[in-house]
Amino acid sequence: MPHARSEYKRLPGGRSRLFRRDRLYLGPDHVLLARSLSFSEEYRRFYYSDIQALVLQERPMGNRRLADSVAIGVAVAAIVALFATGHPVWGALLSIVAVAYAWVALRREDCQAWVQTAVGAAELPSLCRARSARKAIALIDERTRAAQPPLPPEELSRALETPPPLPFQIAASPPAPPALPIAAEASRRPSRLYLAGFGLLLALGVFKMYAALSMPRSFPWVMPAGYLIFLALTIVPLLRQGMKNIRGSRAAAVLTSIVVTGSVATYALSWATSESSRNAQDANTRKIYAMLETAAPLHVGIAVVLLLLAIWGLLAFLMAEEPVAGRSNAPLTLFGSDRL
Amino acid sequence: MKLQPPLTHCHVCLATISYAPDGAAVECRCGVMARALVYPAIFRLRSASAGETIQTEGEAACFAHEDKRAVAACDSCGRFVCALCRIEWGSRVLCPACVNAAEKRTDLLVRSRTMYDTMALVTAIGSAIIFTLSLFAAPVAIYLAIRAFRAPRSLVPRTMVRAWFALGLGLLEVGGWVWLLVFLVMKARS
Repeated sequence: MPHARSEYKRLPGGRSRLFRRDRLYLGPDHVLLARSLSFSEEYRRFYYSDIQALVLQERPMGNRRLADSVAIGVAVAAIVALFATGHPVWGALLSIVAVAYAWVALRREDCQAWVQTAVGAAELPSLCRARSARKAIALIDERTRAAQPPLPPEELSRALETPPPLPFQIAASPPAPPALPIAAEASRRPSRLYLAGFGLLLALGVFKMYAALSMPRSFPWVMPAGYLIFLALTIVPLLRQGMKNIRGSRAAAVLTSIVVTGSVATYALSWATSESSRNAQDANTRKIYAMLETAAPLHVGIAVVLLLLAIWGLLAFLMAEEPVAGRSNAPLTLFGSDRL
Repeated sequence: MKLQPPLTHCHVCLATISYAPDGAAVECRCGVMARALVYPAIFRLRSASAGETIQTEGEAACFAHEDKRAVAACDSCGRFVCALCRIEWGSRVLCPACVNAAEKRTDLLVRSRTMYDTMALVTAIGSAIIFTLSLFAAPVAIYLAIRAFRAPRSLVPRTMVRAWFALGLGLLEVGGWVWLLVFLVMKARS
């Protein structure tokens, strides 16, 4: 079957989540919003002649700035430690990565964009960075203006006239919402075991960093035991409550930590076992373990990864929950009620 | 006609925002900057019309409704259409029959596509990691890769690297099994 060349041109910006990626494309007479799921793509079209308004709002960076600062701080500490322990190559490599990350993180501005048509208002999730959103909006604006004849300014002002405030803002003393049953509220709250797990991971990261830089590895079972306890602390609530109570960054933090810790635990367990049965090993195995044991940058790297994961998880679980769409006046989503 | 909620309110503090008519950025009381670009389509009223009945003899009638006055001609087939049958498609006016035909022929109404190349790639890599699975999964990966070449592709620009890679990897895995089988047979004979 012959396949025609795509008529779409990709617009700046994009948003990727765990199994979802949103991108915006410029078509001949419409804007195409493409959402890539695991094994499929969904499309939504906004014709230039139907676009009534484009709205762009800034998103405060409070918690993200804090997370970026903590990550950069940990990276700087790791760089200093690497240089101090005589590993300038690893230190230089980590410095380059840290500078690149800081450059991107400090220039980042988040935003939200919506498009209004006669059907309703739809969010454009791919326009979540201010710089790319401004470029994309300029391109869409140019095409939309070309497709629609201009209007006098007084009519535009009429279109933007201030709407009535939200009902709960004008009410003098709004009635208190009925209290939810405690059991239902508790079942929706993420388990505290996650917090305990990430706290333990932070302690493991600190211990690993300390052991990698100064201490001979005389406690071979501490790290494997810690990893297994962490895995238990995160997998048990995950199995009990499911994924529905931890979404977004929390789910990403938990899943990434489980994968990374599970992988490292395999190595740590095999190393600890080899320590206790050293005589039973052949020469090659002993050589490999001796090499890994003396590779300080490897252990420092693992410690940094553990610390970053722990900080990510703690910040994700300590931050305030996002408002749920429907309860407040949160923006509509694109493909149905996936936030509900 | 004006902006609809939630665009009228700040998404952080839920306060009402008064946008500037020229599209300039304004600041909400919580410090969030916002801007709205408004287009003439916001004043267009879309009301359904049953179509006007023909009053005088000799007036053009709709192709589908003989008693209704024609208001336009279909840009694709040229048939006269009444207000009821008139469908605005971007900048074109079409009749319902042409819209039905277009739905089958073009990608204009496609809402989703299955990505067989990604399926093939995941299957091929998964079976490469867990090699025992590849006895069954490698042929599946090859089938999915071939299907990716034949199925309608993504509407947006997308290369076929995944499908080629999955096909190559699947063939390698099948080759590996064949080699293993031959090796075992030869060893048993000798």
